[in-house]
Amino acid sequence: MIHHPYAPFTAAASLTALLMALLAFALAWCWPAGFSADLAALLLAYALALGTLQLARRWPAPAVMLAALVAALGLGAWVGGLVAEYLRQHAQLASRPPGRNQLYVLLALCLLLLPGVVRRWLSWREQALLAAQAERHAAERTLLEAQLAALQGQIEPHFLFNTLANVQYLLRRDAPLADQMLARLLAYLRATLPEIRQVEVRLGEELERVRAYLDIMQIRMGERLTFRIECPPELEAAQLPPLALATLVENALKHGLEGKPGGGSVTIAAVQADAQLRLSVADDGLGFHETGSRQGGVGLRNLRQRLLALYGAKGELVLEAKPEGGVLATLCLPLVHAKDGV
Amino acid sequence: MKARAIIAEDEPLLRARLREALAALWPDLEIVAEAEDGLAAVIALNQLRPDIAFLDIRMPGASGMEVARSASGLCHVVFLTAYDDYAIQAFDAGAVDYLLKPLDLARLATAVTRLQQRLLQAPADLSLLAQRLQEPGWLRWIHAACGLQMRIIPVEEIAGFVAEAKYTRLLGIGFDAHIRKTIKELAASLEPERFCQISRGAVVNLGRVEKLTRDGSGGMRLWVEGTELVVTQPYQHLFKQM
Repeated sequence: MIHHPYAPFTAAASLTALLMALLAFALAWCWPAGFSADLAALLLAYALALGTLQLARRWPAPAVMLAALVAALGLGAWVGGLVAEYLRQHAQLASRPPGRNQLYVLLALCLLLLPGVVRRWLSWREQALLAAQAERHAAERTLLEAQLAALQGQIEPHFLFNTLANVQYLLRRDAPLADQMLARLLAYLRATLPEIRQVEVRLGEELERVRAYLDIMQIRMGERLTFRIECPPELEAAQLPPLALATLVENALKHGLEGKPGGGSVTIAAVQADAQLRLSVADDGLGFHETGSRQGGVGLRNLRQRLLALYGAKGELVLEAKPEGGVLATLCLPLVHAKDGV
Repeated sequence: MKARAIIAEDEPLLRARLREALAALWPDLEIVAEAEDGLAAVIALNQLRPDIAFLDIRMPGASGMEVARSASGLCHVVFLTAYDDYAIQAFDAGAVDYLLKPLDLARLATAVTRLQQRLLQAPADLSLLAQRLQEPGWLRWIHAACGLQMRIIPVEEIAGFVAEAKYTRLLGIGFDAHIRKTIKELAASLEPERFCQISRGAVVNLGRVEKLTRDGSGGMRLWVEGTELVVTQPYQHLFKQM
């Protein structure tokens, strides 16, 4: 529940206090005594303080609130002190030393206002927490949007339609191979689609998807494609953003190998370097054309954005042109192992 | 006279699929060659002079579009594509037809009918298509020397280029990297909406300019990623409205 910044200090509260103060004043007038004079003074001071705080409700800034509190205490104590002195004279009591009335009223007023101020402070803190939460949600949404964009860039229509065209032909010529290819396509799609809702996946799962993709491409490209995947078993539980490795592998094929007459090979390796997970994708293809269409590199750009959002300076993607031709893409992330059973 | 055709398609199974489908729908059509990349297709076109070329758009070596350019006026072209990228453009530019993969036999039959009618006419001039293909390709990736490595950097991540002795230094990428291209070459090949030359020795990424200052004597300076650069007189008009 969100409180109004000045929730305890309402108009009703200050009117009630004013009414009580007037009653107490009348009582002190009819029954002149030190006790009744002090009570009337205090209630009047309280009503004035509440009124002051209530006036400041319109400007709900911490500085205004603080100033209003000081003004409320000061005004209440000053007027309350004067009224107490006046009623003491009316009751024919001895004057207190100068300022003593004000001091008493101020102390009592502080005690009276304390619960309201504490409540106010608590609601303020709650609001700050809510604001921080909203900010975090906004950041998460940005990340999710980047992931969604990654997915849209990832399942390429060309890949999907060409693969299906292959299946269509194989159905009549080589049904077992068609079956196998369809199974790999399903594995690829199944691994790709739900991942996007997760922030991180296991390296083992990501490699499964990459393997499905490469199997499909191998059937399609025939002898033109060879690939190798090297990953020590203990790194299979390492976490990485979904599609991070897939983006690099698909880029290697798209930019490097598919366009190369005669084809080539791609090598994927995962190693641990200190507290970092280092993933590399190396191909011996054509490399990146320096110039090209606007569509190129969307996946890579998106991956960079996600790395920045997730790891800041701790994540890095380096693309390197190999001297012997081809591209070496290296992705470095903090090494975090997924918990078992996740 | 029997019509002669070539098929250019890099995926062997898809090539076979089209060949078999054509054999069923148009038994009189003779497939004189099959090419698995664009260069082989160009050679086959020139050597065999077929009446019809079925060209995949995405192929290694040379794209179907590039092959079509060399076939312009020589033979009737049908494009094959898995996805609707340039197909409609190609159709407008005079290709007889385009076929989407996976192949639909009814659709292929229509294309065959259309081809049989067109065979009596001269093949369309596809040079317009070729022109459209040669739209300026701005620089997208920079290959830069970084120590012993050759890094590949997306051009939009670079804040600026500054001439330095024989090389050009890259600004704002978090590490030191140099390229051999001159500022003059770069200025001509970078996308003008994003990059702007500010002097004979510097090009900046407009999105990364932090501030622009003028002094009383007509000087103008830019700050890019903490580096101060001078905008020389001939280039100052570019920033007059800023």
